[in-house]
Amino acid sequence: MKEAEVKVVNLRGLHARAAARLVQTANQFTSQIWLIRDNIQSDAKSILGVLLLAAPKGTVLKVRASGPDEEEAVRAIQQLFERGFYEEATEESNE
Amino acid sequence: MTRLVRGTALSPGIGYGRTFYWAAHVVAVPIGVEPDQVQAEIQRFRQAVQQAKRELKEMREKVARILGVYKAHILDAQIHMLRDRAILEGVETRIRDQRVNAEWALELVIRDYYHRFQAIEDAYLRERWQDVQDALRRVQRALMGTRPPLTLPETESLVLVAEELTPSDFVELVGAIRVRGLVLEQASAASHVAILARSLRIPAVSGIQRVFETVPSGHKVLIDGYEGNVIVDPTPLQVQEYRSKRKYFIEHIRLLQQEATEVAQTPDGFRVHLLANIEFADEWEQAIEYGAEGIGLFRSEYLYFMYPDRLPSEEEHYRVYRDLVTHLHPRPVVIRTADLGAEKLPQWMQERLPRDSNPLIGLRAIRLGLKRREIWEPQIAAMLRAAVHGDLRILVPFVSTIEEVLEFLDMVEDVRHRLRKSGVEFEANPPIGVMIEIPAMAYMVRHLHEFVQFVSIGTNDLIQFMLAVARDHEGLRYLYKPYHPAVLRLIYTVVQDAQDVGLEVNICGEMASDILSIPLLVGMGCPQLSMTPQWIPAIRFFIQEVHRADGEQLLEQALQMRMGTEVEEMLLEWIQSRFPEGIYHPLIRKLNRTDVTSRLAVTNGSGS
Repeated sequence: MKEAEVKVVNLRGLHARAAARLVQTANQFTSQIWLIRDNIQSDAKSILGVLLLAAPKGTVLKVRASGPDEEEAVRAIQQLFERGFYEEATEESNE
Repeated sequence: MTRLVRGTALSPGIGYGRTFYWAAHVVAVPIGVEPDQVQAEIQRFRQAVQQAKRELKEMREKVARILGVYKAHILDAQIHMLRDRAILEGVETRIRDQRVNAEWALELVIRDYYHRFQAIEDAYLRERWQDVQDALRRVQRALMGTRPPLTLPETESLVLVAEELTPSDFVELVGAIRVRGLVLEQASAASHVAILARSLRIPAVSGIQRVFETVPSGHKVLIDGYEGNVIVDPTPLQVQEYRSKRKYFIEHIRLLQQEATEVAQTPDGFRVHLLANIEFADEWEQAIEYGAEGIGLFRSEYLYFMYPDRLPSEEEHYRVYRDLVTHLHPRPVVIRTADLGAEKLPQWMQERLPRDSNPLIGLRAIRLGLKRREIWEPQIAAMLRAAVHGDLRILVPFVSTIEEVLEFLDMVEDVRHRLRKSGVEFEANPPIGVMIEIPAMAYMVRHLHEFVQFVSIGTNDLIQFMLAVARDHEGLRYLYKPYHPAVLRLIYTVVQDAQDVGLEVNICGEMASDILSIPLLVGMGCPQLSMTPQWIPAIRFFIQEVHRADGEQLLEQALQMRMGTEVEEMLLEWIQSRFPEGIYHPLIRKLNRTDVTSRLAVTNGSGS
């Protein structure tokens, strides 16, 4: 099992589009992946679960993965959080 | 018969078309399923999910083409929802365990998630329920086979009328028919429908009670997304007026492509700062796009309409203001404390406050804010905190006495005290300004510098109260004019007095974007004008052509005149003689008497 802390840095928090990206990323791995906020634990492959974490900007979450590719999974998700789900960049180039 | 229906402006623009009802709601009922039919029911559900996913993917391509990949991600999220095991298993388990039809099982899941989302504290994240619901309702429709076929005339211009509209239905309809406007019973400014409408530049109005009773189906309507009006069965003259109004705005969009970085400066070197008036925080992008040098007036009322039964929290205010000043940085952002009351009061508050017999001059704005401190205090606290992130300035509406100013400052002091105790970071002294919109206050400007840092002239209310004429009275439009010499004199007094005592002064009513008034305002030496973002390019171009010396001369003459009609005539003649060949802008080249009259008639109605 592998664990790491991540922080929501993008403006709108873990909203629908960000959650979609997260789930997309999580689904690339075979490991089971969870996001944990306080006492709520959500399957990172379930978008509803991610949305219901209701994590606005600044929230610190724990990522936990367990399985053959747990390290890569945690790293990929960490990176996604750090880059704010690539929001600002996409926003600028597309709007 | 011609009828005016008032709502809330959701997306700017003018639309004209035949009304078309859109009722998306489908109702599921529980039906028992025999044990041997359970598997077939589950199969039916899975097929419906597949169909819904196919539809969403098609739509996603369409959105990506029209609006770019980023907006298409809204639909990505929905596609993911239809893959979500929690949902799929939730429905299938219910079909199996409770032996009910797929529709009802899905309905139960929808309700379950509805309650879980309602419990979310963050407003923006809570709103995401709309996307969940949108995705699941699509499956519901596929299950019921009730997806309404779109057999509408593809060439006719239509105005959609709906109680509510999901983003995906909206996109679908836009792709299928010529949607020229949107009239909704419910939709908040932050909803995806509103954001999409603004991106698609489709005018939209919401907040119309019992919309299916108020706006008839199959009738011609004009929709004014700047002011939030819907005119049912308009007269040919009204259609004409609105067409010309629309032309102006289209012209401006073209103009803004060019030279948006230039500044408004007269040929003899007088610099006028042009700022934007905005209703919703997310209009900041447009404001910058049109070349605004800041936000001169952010009307914050919409935040109070976002929650059906409560006030917005300090945190909810804070996030909006912080984001806004951060985006605008280093430009200034003037946020007006909510001007609630008059015609703008959330339903639940209306029920708790005594009825005003004359709400326009009753318990509204600062009067309400001082009496019910819970309304403004969180807002002020949020402003002080957000001021850490940029140039935030606080504007207080509808002030009629210095006592009110003092009491307001007291309230700010209380808020500071509380913030200090809680240890949260904040800016203790952002500039505070007073709105000059009650005539009495215009004569008190000389005293205001002792208490505040700036004044902002709200010409809409100022003219309305000075001339004692309702600004939205159809039959009295001819009276509601900024050219009345007394009005000009009063505004000039405010501009002069403010500058004498070192207060910054800004004009933020419709007059600030009125072509005929511009030479006079330049003549007065008014350094700041704030207007609907779309007007900025044309006003900037115009100012670049008007000498301040000419403006001063015109002002001097205007102040000697006895009648507003004389002033108007003089300004018109001046513009025509000054630009006999017409100038850069068709707006002015084509300007003749009827254009001016209709222009004034249509612009003199909006709120500030």
